[in-house]
Amino acid sequence: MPCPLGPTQLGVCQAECMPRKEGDRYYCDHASQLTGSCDEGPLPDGSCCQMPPQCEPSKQAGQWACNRGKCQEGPLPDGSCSMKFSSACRPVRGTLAMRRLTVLAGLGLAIGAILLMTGMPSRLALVSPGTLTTHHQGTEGCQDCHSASEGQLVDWVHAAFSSSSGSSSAGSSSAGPNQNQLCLKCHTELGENAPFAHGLASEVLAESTNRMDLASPSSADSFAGSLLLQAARTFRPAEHQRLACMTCHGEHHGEGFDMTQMTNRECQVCHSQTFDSFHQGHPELTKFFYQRRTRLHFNHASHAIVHFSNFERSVPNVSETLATVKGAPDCADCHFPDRAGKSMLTRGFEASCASCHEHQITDNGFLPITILRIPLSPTANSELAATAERSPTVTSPPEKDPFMQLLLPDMSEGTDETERPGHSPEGVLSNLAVQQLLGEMLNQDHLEMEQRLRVSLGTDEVAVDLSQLAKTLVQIDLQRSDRNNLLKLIAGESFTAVNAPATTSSEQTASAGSSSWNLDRNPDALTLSYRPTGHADPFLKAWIEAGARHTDATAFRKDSGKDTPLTTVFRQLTGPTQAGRCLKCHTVGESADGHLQIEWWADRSSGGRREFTRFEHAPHLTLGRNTTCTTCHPIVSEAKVMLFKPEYIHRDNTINTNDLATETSGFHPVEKGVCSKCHQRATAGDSCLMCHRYHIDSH
Amino acid sequence: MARPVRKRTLQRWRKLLFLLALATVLLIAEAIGSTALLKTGLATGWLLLVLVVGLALYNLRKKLPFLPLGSAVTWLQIHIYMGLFSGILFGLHLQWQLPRGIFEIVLALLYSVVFVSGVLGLIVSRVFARRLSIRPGEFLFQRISPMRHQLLNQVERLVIRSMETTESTGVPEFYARRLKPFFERPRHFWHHLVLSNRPVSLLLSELQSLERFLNETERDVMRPIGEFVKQKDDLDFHFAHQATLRYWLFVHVPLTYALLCFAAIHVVLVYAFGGAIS
Repeated sequence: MPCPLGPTQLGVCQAECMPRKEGDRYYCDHASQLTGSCDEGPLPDGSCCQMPPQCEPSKQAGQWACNRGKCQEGPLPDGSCSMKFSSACRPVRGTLAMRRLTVLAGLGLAIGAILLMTGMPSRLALVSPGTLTTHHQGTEGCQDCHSASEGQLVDWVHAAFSSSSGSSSAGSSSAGPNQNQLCLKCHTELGENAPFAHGLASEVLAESTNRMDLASPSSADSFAGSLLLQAARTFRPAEHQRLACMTCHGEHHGEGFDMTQMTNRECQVCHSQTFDSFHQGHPELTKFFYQRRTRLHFNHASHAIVHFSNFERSVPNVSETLATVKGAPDCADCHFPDRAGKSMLTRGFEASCASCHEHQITDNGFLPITILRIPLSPTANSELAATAERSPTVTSPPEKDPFMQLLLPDMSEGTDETERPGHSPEGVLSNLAVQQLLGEMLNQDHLEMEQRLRVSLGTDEVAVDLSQLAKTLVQIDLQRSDRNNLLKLIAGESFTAVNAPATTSSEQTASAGSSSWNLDRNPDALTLSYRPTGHADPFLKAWIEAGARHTDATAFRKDSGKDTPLTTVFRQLTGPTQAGRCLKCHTVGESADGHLQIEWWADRSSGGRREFTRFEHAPHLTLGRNTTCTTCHPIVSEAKVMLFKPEYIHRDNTINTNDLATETSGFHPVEKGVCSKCHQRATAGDSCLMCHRYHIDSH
Repeated sequence: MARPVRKRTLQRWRKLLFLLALATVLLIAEAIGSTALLKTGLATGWLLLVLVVGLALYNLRKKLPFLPLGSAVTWLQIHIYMGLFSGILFGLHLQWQLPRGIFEIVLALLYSVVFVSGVLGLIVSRVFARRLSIRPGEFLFQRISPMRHQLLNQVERLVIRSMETTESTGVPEFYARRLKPFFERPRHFWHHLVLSNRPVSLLLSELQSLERFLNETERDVMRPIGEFVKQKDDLDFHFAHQATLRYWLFVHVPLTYALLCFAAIHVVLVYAFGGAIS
C-alpha cells in the first residue's frame, strides 16, 4: 500500500506504512513481521518505539476481552491490548547506513594496516617492491641505495616532498644523495661520465657521432624506421643530458632479472642512424674482426694452403701430446677457447710453431749479438792468427757496438782505438774499465752491473727494470777454457800470455746448441757474444722489451738518428740478420704512453677494457658439423697467398697503424650474412646487446 | 520500443569504440615514451591515481545531488567507461606483470578487487534488473523478510490444523524435515543467481510424492502448501538478485577508499625512495 506521507527524515513513519524510502537510516523489521505494519517506525537512535501488542482483544457483550485469557489487567478501554511485546522489535540498519559503516570500517582497517606496515621493524621488507637481483644481494641494506630508508613514514613523507621539490639527477636533495650518486658510489668502474650516453663525455660522443656519420652517411631511403621509433626520437634524451641509472636499469624485479636488458628500439632512439634489424640495415662487419693487423706476423692462408700441405708438423693430439701430421689443418691444432668461452687462444709456440720454426731462432747463419769486442794489437794479432778461426758466417761487427756503448760508454767514444784510455799500444788488455766489466760479468756481480747500467742510462730511466737487465749480463755460461782465459785477462796478464788455445770451430759449433755465450778470438779483436738458444730467450726478451719501453714511438718512426743507447740496442737485437729474429713473428706496436710495445702474445685480450663490441666463441663452436671455423673466417684463396714478403726479413719497423694492407691474417672479412643466418629476431635473437656494450671505456 | 533499445545499443557501441580508441592512444603513447626512455611508469602512475580519485568522486556526487555537476546518469556513464579505461592504465603501469613486493601486492589486489567488483556490479545491474522485471512478483527488498515470515506462519497454521484434524504425522514430519528449513530463511541463493530451478523442483516433487501417502484431509492441507513453496521460491529469487544488486557496493565502495589510502602511501614511497625520479 503506498504511503501518502512517507516517513520523516529520521525514518519515523508518519502514517501506517513501512519506512521504505531509499536513504532511510532505519526501517522496522521484526515488528512488521508480527503486526504486518510498523505504525511509527523506529526512533532516530535505532531503538524501536513501537512494540506490538501481544494479542488482539475481542469485544464480547460490549466488553473488550483478552483473547488469550492470560492478561491480568485486560484490554485497554479503546480495545487495544495492554501488554506489549518487550523484545519482539529488533530494528536493523538500512542498506546505506550499513554501507557507510562498512566504508568507515574499511578506511579504518586500511589506515591501521598502513600504520602497522610502516611502523614495524621489518617495514622496509614490507614496502620493498620486490627482491633484488643476485648481484645486489650483497648490499648491507636498503640504505646503500636509498637515503630515505633509515626513517619512518613521517621521514618518508618529508623525503618525498623534499625530493620532488628539489632533487634532480644532477644533484642531491636535502634528503640525501640521489639514486645515481648512490649507484655510482659502488660502480666506480663506469667512470665519472657514467650518467652520460655510453659513459662518454659529451664532446667525445659528439666527435664519435660525427666520425660515424662521415663514415657512412645516413640515407633516408635505406631505412624509414618504424613510425613508433621516429615518434620516440622526438623525445629522445639530449646528447649532453645526464641519464638516471633507473632509466635503463630497473631493480626489484627478482633474483634472476636481467637489469641490462633493453630493446633494439630503445638503443636506436638516440642513434643518428637507425635500421630495422641486424638482418636489415645493420652495417657490414668489414672492420670488426680485422680492424688492426694481427699481433703476430702470421698468415693463415699461406700456412693452411701451402705450408701445412708441404711439410710435416707436430700438433697436439687428443692426449695433448704432440703428433706428427701433414695435410689439411684443423683449427684446433693451434687454437682453443678460453675458460670463459669468449676468445680463441693459441696453444703457444711449442705446440703450434716449434716443429717448423724453432731452428730458425737458433740458426747459426745469423749474426750473434756482440756484447763486448776488444780490438787487439798487431802483435797479438799475429799470434792469434795462428790459432783463431773465424766463424765462416760472421760478418764484421758494426763500428760501434751498442752493448759496448752501453756498458763502456767512455771507451766507445774514442775515435782511435789506440788512444782509448787503458788500451796500450802493445795490445795488452790493461784497461781497468774492461777488467772491471769482465769481472762483474764473470763474478756474477749483478749489483755492480745494475749500477753500471744506471750510470750509463741515467737516473730517469724509470720504465726499465735494470736489475733484470743486469742479471742477464752476469749469468754467463762460457766454456771453461774461455772463462779461464778471461779470468786471466782480468788478473792483468797480457793477452799474449794467455796460453790457451782458442776455441776450435768444431767446439764452437758444438757449443752453439747448448751454450748461449761465446768468446771468439780473431786477429783483430776478442769478441764476447751471445746467441739465443730457443724461443722466448730471456736475454733477448728482456733487452728487446727494455729497448721498446725506453724508445719513443714517434721519434723511432722518424728515425732521427738521435737514438739513446737502449734504442740502439733495440735496433741491433731486432735487426733482420740478427740471431733470434724475434720480430720475424712478433709485431711492434705503440703503448698507451707513446713508447714502443712488442706484441709478445697473439691473443686479443682487451685487458679488462670494456669495448663496444663483444663476441663469444664458445656458443658458436657447438653449432654442428656444417659450421666450422672457416664458415665465419673464410681463408683467402690460394691465388692471393703471398708466400714470401720482403718485410718478413727486412722489417720496416712499421708500428701497428691498423693498416690492413700492411699485414693481414689471411682471412676474408666476416660477412654479416653469415651471422644473420641465425641471428634474427625469431631464431637466435638480434638484440643489440648481444654484441654491443652500452657502458664502454672512452680511452 | 525497439527504436530506443537500438539507439541505446548504438550509443553503447560508440562509447566502447571511444574507449578502445583512447586505450589505443594510451598504448601508443606509452610505447613511444618507453622507447624514448621517458619515465612512463611515473606518468601512468599519476594518471591512474587521478583517474581513481575521479572515479571515487562519483560516490560523493551521489551524496550531493543538489550541486549542478551534471546528471547522475552522465556521471555513471563516465564512471563506467573511465573505470574500464583505468584497467588498461593499471596494466600498463604494472607493465603487464605481477607485482612482487608485499605492499605493492596489497595495492594491486585492492585495485583488482575494486575493478572486478565494479565490472561485476555493472553486469549485475544490467542483467539482474532485467531478470527481476521478467520474474513474476514485485517485492520490496525490506518487505521480503516479513513476507517470508508470513508464509512460514501460514504454512505452520496449516500444519497445526492438519495435526488437529488427523492423527497422522506425515505432514508434520515432512514440515519439520523439509518445509521449515526452506521457509525459515532465504534459500538457494546461488541457484537463483544462475537461474537454476532444481532445488525447488525437487521440493515440489517430494511434495507430490508425499501426497500418495496422505488421506483426503491431509491432501487438502498440503495442496496450498505447494503454492506457498512457489511463492517462497519467488521471494528467494528476488532476495538473491536484489541482495546482489545492493551488496556488491559493500565491496566496491569501502575498498575504493582503502585503495586511495594505499595509493597515497605508494606515491610517498616512490618519491621518497627516489627510484622513479632520480
